[in-house]
Amino acid sequence: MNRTIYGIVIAFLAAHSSAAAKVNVITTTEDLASITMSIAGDRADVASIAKGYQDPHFVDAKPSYLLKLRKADLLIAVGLELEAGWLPALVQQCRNSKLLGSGYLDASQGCEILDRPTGQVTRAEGDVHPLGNPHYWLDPGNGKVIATNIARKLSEIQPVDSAFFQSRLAAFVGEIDRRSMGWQKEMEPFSGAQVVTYHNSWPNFLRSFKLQVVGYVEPKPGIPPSPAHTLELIQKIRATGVKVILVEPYFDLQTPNAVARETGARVVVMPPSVGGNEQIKDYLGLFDHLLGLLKKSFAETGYRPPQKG
Amino acid sequence: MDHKILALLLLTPAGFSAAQQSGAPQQSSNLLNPNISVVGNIGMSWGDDATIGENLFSFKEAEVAFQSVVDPYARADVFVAVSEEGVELEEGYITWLSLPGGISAKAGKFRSNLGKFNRTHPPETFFVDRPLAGEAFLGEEGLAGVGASLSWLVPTSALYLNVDLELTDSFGESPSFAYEEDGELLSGGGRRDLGYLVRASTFYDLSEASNIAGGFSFARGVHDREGELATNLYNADVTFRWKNPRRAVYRSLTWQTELLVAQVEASPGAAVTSWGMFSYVDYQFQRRWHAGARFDRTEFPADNSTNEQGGLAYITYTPSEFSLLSFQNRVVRRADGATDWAQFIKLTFNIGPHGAHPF
Repeated sequence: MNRTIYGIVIAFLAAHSSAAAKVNVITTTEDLASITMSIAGDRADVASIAKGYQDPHFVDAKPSYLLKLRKADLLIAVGLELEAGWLPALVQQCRNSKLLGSGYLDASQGCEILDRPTGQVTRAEGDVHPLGNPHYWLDPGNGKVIATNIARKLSEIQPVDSAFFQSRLAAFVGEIDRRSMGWQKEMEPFSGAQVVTYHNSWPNFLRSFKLQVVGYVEPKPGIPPSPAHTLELIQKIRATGVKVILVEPYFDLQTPNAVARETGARVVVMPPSVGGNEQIKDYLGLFDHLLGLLKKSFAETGYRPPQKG
Repeated sequence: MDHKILALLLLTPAGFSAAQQSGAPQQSSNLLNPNISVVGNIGMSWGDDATIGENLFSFKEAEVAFQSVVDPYARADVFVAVSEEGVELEEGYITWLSLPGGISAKAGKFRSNLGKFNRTHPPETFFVDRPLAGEAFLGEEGLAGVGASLSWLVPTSALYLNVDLELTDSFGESPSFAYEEDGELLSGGGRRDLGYLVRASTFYDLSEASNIAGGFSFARGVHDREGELATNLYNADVTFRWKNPRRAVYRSLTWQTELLVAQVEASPGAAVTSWGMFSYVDYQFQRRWHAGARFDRTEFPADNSTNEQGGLAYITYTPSEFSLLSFQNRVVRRADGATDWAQFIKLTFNIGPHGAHPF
């Protein structure tokens, strides 16, 4: 009797697993979705919860997302508490035990994380991320690590396709390396250029392309602009001659525009994610788009490289 | 390895990632501590309303929460309310997150799943008070019980549908399920008289920016000392939300309405039907500012001959996600025809790890 039941169960599981040829992957952001698609090709169905034009800190934990998560084989998150306001609530309610175990991947594992506080952390510093800056995907080097993490996890979940994932990973990493050389070359004339950003979303990006940030429109992370801080920022921009203010698409432009009017700097809306606007279709395209925007802005605002020697 | 780390992730994201990063400034023994957070709720009230108490200032409560994962299968949440009146276990329960068949289960003391508003802890609501219908039928603290519940996410692919079943001790001191003796409300029935509750809820995205949620709940228990007279409580709730995801931190709108109908047996087989409702709108018009208004109308358990009506309006300032200051003005036309005005200031602060944003 027991043996019959086991037989039925095993037959059912076998039928089930061979039918599930595609891994069902949900990512929290479109950047992770894009990298996953590059690795998984047609062996996975991939969808993102947040859209690229949304502030990933502030996504509503809508029950409709539970329907997606319930059937997922793998959930990939940015981690470092970027999704702390909404993802735990969804994972707890989706009744998918896979996502409580091996079907979860924190993509930040092994990535180079900046701004990691070393001492006591308090919210006197604003809405700080105690584990470091979560916008680490904006460094193509970290993109390779994320892709490696994803390929490893996909291979774990679907071992039959392991070789497929690994070969696509190698191709993706090679493509990042090849494109990175071009990007570095393009940005060489602007090495050391200074910018102001709205939120501290760009440390990995600026470091990758040898740019410097001299100030933020937000007085502290997550704290909206204040008049006193804005005046300070205006003085700083005048003193340093910064020409470009980078603003994420989900922030209000009123204060950045006012600062720009006072200083002659230019406001550039820079989406930090795939899908941030219609032109950014994938992870590699994100860098093409951002660097294109920057080069154009530097050129049009009359940026001159510092004199050598 | 995976199990441990993922268990930590569930409500201790800080612990989770620190576990991977040996350089993090944490003692390893702290990693398994539950998340501890405190919500302070301070009030000021004045006006000719006799129900608001005599003092100008009141420290309504400090709600202390301990939350963590128990093991790879379950998590636990404990909320303790510390107030000038003493210490009270507000909620304390273990939740098994994923049993077979899309079911999760909960055991302990918890706020009952009657409507949507009842589950919300007082500091987290938009208001300084509870809606009149809630106070009249469910009591100042709302409906809660000690027991167990099952929650089933119905496996439909297109529509979100969830069914909850709760079985608890009789519903404590809620007026609909209690009798009065020497001016005190006592829980109806004895140890064999339980409270039963069922709720079905759904959610639908109207567009990327707007959605609607609704539910129907039914609770049954007894309300007399001997446990012979039953109360049936019906609740319908509907919530409309709007928030443009491209401008999520700046503007939002919530409109929630709930209707409560009680059938309270005066003698076996002869029930008195009475009802109450409230409806409110909250509009966030700037990143740090909310304004809202609530309309209340209610009868009383076993009494449909009189009613109270009221309105409340407020404006709230939130310096950050972690504190708020709200000025509220309320008018109530009491059952005896008197009109009571009251003004309130509500101040809350929130310390501890970043919790989930309410939805």
